[in-house]
Amino acid sequence: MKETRLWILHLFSGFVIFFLLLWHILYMHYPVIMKGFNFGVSFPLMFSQVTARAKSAGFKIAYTLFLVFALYHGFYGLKNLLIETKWGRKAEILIVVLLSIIAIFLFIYGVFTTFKIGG
Amino acid sequence: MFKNRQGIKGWFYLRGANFERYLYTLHRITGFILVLYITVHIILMGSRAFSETAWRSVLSFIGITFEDSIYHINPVVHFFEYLLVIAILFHAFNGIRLILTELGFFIGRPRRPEYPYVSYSIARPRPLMIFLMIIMFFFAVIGIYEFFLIH
Amino acid sequence: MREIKFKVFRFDPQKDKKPYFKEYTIPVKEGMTVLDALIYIKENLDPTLSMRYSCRMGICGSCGMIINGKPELACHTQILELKSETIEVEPTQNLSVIKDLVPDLRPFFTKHRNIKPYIIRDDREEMEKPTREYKQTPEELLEFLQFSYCIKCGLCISLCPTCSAYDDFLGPFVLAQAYRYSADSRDSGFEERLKAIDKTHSITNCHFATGCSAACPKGVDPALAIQFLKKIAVAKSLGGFKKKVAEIAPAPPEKGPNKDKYPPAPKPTV
Repeated sequence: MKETRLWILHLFSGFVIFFLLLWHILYMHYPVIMKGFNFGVSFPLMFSQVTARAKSAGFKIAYTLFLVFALYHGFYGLKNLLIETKWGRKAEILIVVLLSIIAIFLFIYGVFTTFKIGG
Repeated sequence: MFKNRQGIKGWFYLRGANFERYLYTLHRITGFILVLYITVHIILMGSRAFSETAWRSVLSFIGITFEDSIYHINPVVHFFEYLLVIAILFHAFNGIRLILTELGFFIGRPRRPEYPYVSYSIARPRPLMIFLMIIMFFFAVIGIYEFFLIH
Repeated sequence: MREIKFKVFRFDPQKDKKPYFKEYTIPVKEGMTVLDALIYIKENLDPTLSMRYSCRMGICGSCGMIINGKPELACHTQILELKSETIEVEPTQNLSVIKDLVPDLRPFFTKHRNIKPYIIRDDREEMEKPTREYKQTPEELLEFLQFSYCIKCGLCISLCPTCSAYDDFLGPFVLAQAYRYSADSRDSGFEERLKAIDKTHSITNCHFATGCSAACPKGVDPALAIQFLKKIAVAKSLGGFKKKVAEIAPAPPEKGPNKDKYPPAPKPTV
């Protein structure tokens, strides 16, 4: 049941990041409208804002979850896309290994960023 | 023997295709773009961990310049940001449709095929698809207001 | 009588390096199908044309072709209904071409064999020398009846985007048949079939583009079957898959007023 389990995780991570991403988009990309609903800040990219929100535990947890699920979802999807090309079975292992390394690197880097700035 | 094979072109082969086929192709393209984007995004946004100057220089590199307590975004970058939001919204809402249908919801039950044949796996999830696309367009339209009309 | 131009895909592996289209003009009368036109070409104009056909009534699944860009059974497509002066005929896409309009379906038949498209049961002896029939309600029959109409013509392959780039993907009709037998109430072989299904280039590489269902000339709806197959595979890997396997129908009563009305068990067919 290996491949099906990985795929279930792909679906589950997609379902989780649907909500996290909606929140992320509303916070980061729709600041003016969301300010009208008393949610978020007007200038989310100001360094003072970035450090301020990075200190709260909720943000840290949400960002770490977001990283895990988004990276898994994205890179599993990319793997599925790449193995459907003409490259064949031999390239498959190489693709999986390479993508895993990139994803793990990005995860470590992302967690480092989240926790470094949050103290 | 001649290999009568479309290759990767087959992903984009839409001659006489039904609407779900277009969604499949768009889902592929947006998904591919988003994976590339998230890679760059994590690396660039990681600059906040080093110093405020690093953060500011990275943001000015992608077209966001700071003044005292506000910042300005390059209009071209702003437009591409909007396209990115659209891509995310499409991928997210179409993805919800795929999760539901691929787990067997909203696609009905098998039945006796009677002529003229109707493909129920295409016809049944249509209301769900239209519902999700309407929500997507709602977010896209308020996005136009947010991105281009207030600033 | 109308004259209609046919552009037919030609490829002879012994002579040609590349396929080309050859034009024929054919008198068409009402009721003539594309297959009739191809037979007319072979009999009167060009005896070197090859195509595959057998029943001429949409049962055998030999004459699947791309007609004016749409996958159709040639015997099922009326020429005048296409409402076009030129008709382009190509072999099914995403398969190798043996000659002219004859695609090579063997790889998919091998995959079809690998998913064990037959009833698997624990009581083999009873299956081979049946004493009674197995119980099945009409509702249980309806669960898989639609998918058992598949004629393996291979038209679903021509619109499947996953089949287009990679050879090893199991393909729509093969996966649909895997569900057809797994959903059968008399079958208990889903676990054995999973060995072929639960891999890469199988259900997880179907992205519900529904090309197969749009192409199917028999209303089988392979996409529906594949989504249900995913559903039971997910249920199985999460431990929530339960199936009640049909039992043998009870023996007729030995006494009572109705005892002679029960028919005897059917004779073994194999």
